[in-house]
Amino acid sequence: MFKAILYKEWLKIRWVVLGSILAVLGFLVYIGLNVRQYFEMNDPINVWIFFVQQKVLYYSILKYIPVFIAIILAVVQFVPEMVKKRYRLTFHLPFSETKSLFIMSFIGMGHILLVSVILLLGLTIIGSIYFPVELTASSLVSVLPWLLAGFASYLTTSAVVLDPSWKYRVLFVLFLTPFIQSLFLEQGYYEYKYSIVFFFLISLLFGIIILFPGYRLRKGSVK
Amino acid sequence: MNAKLSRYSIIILITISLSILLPNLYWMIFDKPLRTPQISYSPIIKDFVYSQTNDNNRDEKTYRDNQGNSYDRKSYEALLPFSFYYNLDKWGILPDSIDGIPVNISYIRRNSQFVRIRSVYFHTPMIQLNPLFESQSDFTRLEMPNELFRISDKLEFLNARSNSVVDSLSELYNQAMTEQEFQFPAKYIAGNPTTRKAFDEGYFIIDATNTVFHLKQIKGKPYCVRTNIPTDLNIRYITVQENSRREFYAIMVTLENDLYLISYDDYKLIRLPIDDFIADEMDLMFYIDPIYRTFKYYSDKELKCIVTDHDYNVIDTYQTSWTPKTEWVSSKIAASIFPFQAERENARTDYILFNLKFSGWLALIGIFLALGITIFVKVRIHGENLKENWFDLLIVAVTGLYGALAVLLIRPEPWD
Repeated sequence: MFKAILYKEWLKIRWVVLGSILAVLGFLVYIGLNVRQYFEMNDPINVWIFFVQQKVLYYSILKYIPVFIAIILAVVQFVPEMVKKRYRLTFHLPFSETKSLFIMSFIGMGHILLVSVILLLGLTIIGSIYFPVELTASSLVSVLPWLLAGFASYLTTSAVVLDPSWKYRVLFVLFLTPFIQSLFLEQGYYEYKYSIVFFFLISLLFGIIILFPGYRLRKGSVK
Repeated sequence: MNAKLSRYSIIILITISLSILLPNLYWMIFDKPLRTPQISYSPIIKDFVYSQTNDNNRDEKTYRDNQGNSYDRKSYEALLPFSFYYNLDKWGILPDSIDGIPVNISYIRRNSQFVRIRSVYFHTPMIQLNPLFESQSDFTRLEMPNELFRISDKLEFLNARSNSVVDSLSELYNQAMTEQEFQFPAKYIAGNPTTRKAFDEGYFIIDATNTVFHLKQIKGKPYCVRTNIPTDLNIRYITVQENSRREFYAIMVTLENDLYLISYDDYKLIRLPIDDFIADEMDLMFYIDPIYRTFKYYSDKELKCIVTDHDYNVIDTYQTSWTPKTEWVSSKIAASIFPFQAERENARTDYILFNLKFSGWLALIGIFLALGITIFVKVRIHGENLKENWFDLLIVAVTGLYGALAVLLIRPEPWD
């Protein structure tokens, strides 16, 4: 049964998985070339000084990439289930809805984790070529809120798509985004140093939000 | 059970989001700028004068002195020749001498200095990689070197073109510092890593034993001095000021909120006569003019101004206060509507926060109201059984309006 779900998920998301990995690699290459050009066109020391003192994030183009990938992934994973309420067929299987929903979202989060790891590796490589370890380390820490936002938006989008009523969909989008938006306030490096732990702990709650819409789907709630 | 838990996790997340969203919207409507008076000390009438935006007409300013006399703008600026000397000169009324000191524009400029220490300077992330300038170059302008230095368990120069440590240079400086008994690692490094300054005084570095060292480069050679600045001061902040008056290298702030100047006279400390300064909550401005030293420091509820002579003996002080934002009627109303407000950004820090600011007893008003409404809607309109979802009421009892909105909008299902 587990294998079957895995295969079904793969069929739905394979193009997004491939596409998003290519896109992320593309953005990393872009950042690498962009940084390389800074060093070619300017005195290298001034480039360092600029990034250290002005706190400009040379990787800020990545800011919304995880969220963007997460939303598309959740949509391709859950929209097909909602067409003609196909997902309700799952409820006839000898397999609890909690389990199958968790497996589905674990698969999605697995991909977001993969994307995050690729991003972090890419930034490590770019940093180790051009920057002192202090700046590279700051880049790895400063993208964490954006990655966290990726996971949170994936789980939120899944819940939004899965819920049977439009009223709840609108409410979820409207009232869960202020928290996710809080992860994009960064202007310079290390700004989430003292708060990232709190944001992470609160984000753990996103882990189970999908079960309620799933339950409503099974019960055929229309409220 | 799982679905029930899931609903609560949604409700808690919505509650948190609302505690960000609703106070934000509220303050978007009700926030007002603080219009604090601009205080100065007039060397002409030997008293404090101030300008302030009119409360009734915000396009107008009033100018007064401490005795209550009011002035028009020109006669006000005439009281402050050390601030408005260009204007006074243009009008031909810049005095030739003040207190027997001959005055002209270049004299005023040469004998003036301004330093600002803002609370946000203590709460800002900063990567400690700095350039060490040649401070006695053959050329007029300061030039950016090719390396930045870091101080970990030793001092290392990093070349930006090769992104690698320059061993020979690092060795030279390590040796100079070890000769002065510098104990690695450094606790604090202060300097002005910019070429946009008149000259270079290098860096003040606090070592592992709290000793303050002065490091700079002279003719390509390290110049490292172990200063006699006491090691028990709990220095929190140093701002190096390369000013051509060359009275002091830097200003220091300690954990006890004492301020010191590090003078050019063998690093002798001059304690500034500033009481009740709170570095985390106040911004400080330090003006030096040909006759006086003026310190202005203010929080969100009060302003103090101290005027001293050359030797930092207090001549006069001024103090004023105003209703802080927390005491505004709109703050009281906010406190009774919102049991807490999530604060993410704050003018006194560059860090992103997640502070839940609780509103105190006033919040009980909103909480009881929210509970009443919740119970009414649940029983009368939704026709729910309160016992079945008693936890909803507990959430409202803690989070007031936010929780009420969340539990009423995301309604409980008929659970399995």
